[in-house]
Amino acid sequence: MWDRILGSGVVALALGYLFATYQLPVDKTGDPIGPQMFPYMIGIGILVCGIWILLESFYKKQTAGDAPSARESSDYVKSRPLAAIGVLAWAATYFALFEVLGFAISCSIFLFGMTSFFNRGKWLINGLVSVIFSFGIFYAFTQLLDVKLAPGPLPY
Amino acid sequence: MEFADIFDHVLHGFTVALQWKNIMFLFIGALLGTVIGIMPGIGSSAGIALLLPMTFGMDPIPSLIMLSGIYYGAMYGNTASAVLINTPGTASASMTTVDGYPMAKKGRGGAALAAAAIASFIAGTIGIVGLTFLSIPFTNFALKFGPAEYFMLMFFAMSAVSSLTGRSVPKGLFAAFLGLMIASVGMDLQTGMPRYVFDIPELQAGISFLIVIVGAFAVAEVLLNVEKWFGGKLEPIKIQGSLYLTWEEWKRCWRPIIRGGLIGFFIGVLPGAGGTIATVIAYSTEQKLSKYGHEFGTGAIEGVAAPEAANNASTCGAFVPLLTLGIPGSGTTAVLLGAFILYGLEPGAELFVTHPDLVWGLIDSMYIGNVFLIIMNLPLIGVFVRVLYLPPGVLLSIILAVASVGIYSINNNTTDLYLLLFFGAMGYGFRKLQIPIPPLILGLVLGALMENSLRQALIISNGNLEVFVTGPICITLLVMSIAAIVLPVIGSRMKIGRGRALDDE
Repeated sequence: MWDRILGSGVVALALGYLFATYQLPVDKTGDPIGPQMFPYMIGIGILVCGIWILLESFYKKQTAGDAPSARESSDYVKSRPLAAIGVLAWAATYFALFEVLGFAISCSIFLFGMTSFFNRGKWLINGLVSVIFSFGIFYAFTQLLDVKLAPGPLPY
Repeated sequence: MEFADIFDHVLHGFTVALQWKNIMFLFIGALLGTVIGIMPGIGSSAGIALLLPMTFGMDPIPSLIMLSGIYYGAMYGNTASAVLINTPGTASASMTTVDGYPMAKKGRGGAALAAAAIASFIAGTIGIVGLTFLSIPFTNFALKFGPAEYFMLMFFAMSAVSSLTGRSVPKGLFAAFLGLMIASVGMDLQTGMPRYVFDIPELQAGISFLIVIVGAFAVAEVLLNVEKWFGGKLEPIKIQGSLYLTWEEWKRCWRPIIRGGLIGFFIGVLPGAGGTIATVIAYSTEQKLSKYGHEFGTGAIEGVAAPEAANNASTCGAFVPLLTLGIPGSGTTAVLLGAFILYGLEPGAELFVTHPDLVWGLIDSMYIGNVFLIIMNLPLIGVFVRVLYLPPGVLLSIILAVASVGIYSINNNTTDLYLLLFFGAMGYGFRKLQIPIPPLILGLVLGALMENSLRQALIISNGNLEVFVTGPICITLLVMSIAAIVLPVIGSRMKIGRGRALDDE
């Protein structure tokens, strides 16, 4: 089922990419090959892969029961997409605050939120790790390595 | 080139590798490699990707020595988690769990770790010697390559990696084409025309491959480990037994180590095969040859020594095509190639002429790195395994924070951070759909070089496509590419290679 969705998505992606390639302005000055040829090859390659994935998914269905299911393997981990989405959403919030509050403060908040959830009950350690890591990295980058990081309200 | 020339280069390389700055960064690389190897859930690709943005300002020699140290250092460290918590630190230690964990449960964890470290050291040295002596013939061969040959070589590398690193050939190929597609975004280097930027100014310069690598490897691994966190914590077994081998154990080990080292090295040279396949072949070879074959799977020391030898030697083997032809054969070497490109260096025969300090300094640093690593992984392993006791929640959070710092510091804009999340989610989805990541990275890193070779070859041939099927090198590479794609398909129809692991190293 997932492979069929994937195959269809890949075919759609290939068609979209080929269309965008077709739309590219053609200017072969100084280069008779032009900027379209390689992308056309890529687009056709993706299209073939999409069709192949679809065909494979139909073939797999016919021979289902033949291959061991992923759930039987020892390294199987139950999918929890909501957990992944939650982490991504929290990281997106951190990135939204990155330039507003600056790296050190926004990263401290991000880390404290993460560690409070994943390392529950250890408020002091989590707080210390979050603040020391964030401010330590900020200091190391801006003062020692001379790399710019968003300062926010901090006077750097 | 004569033996004496190689000897001169090696001696010169040591004068570079032994400079205090290079030694210091080699030590840091070996240390980080060991730690990254021990930590399950973060492989060498992700580790190197995380550090890459932070090495921008450094000299290329110490930086590349350090990043390479992480790669082969992780092959040492990955044993500890395989033996003590039955979870390989990186994919290529999967076979080590089969006998290493039962040994630890029987109270012989110390012997397992000692066998692994000694095997890694001996095989690593075999691999570096192989790399030293194969480099020159490979570079001489590479001098015969024109743009058409290079294009076909890259096509072969991508075909091999795509078809061998995953469970499905079309999914692997799709990942490679997607990498090429992402690489095509931005300004066309030959005509200066923008492609696929959709009026978004941030896309004019293209999508930095660092964002894709850090997202697809590091962020995706964090997301996957978050799922594991919900599944409960794995308690490490304490190291029991002495950290040395008895004479009887050594007698059982030395032949598997030598054989594993040779198998690993030659498989490492082949694009696509990688460390995991090398370990599987080394393990099954020993199982057939050993008179203790019946003990395999229940704690046979050869079952730890052979795959550990193979995965270390394979990393050295992987450096042969990377340094001499500029062709990465795996995800991690693709990331390393990216590091070379970031420094404006293009690995290949010419690099041996233009930057001999770098090439031979890097190769020789591996001899010294191996000595650092055996010290860290034998007498000091008790110190390093404490990494396994770190709360995973803290570790995962810090990895995300480090990723954000590195990516933001490239261009100082938050659009890159959102792209990082996008590619992290994509990498997570890829892992769930069993699409291998290494071909994606290979396509991404090789995209511009491949297009350049294609266009140069066609300009030289006045647009005649026959240039790609003319000459013995092109024809051989074409046949090998077709074989790389077709054989696994036939194999899977015949049920060969079923249950092949996803190799992300």
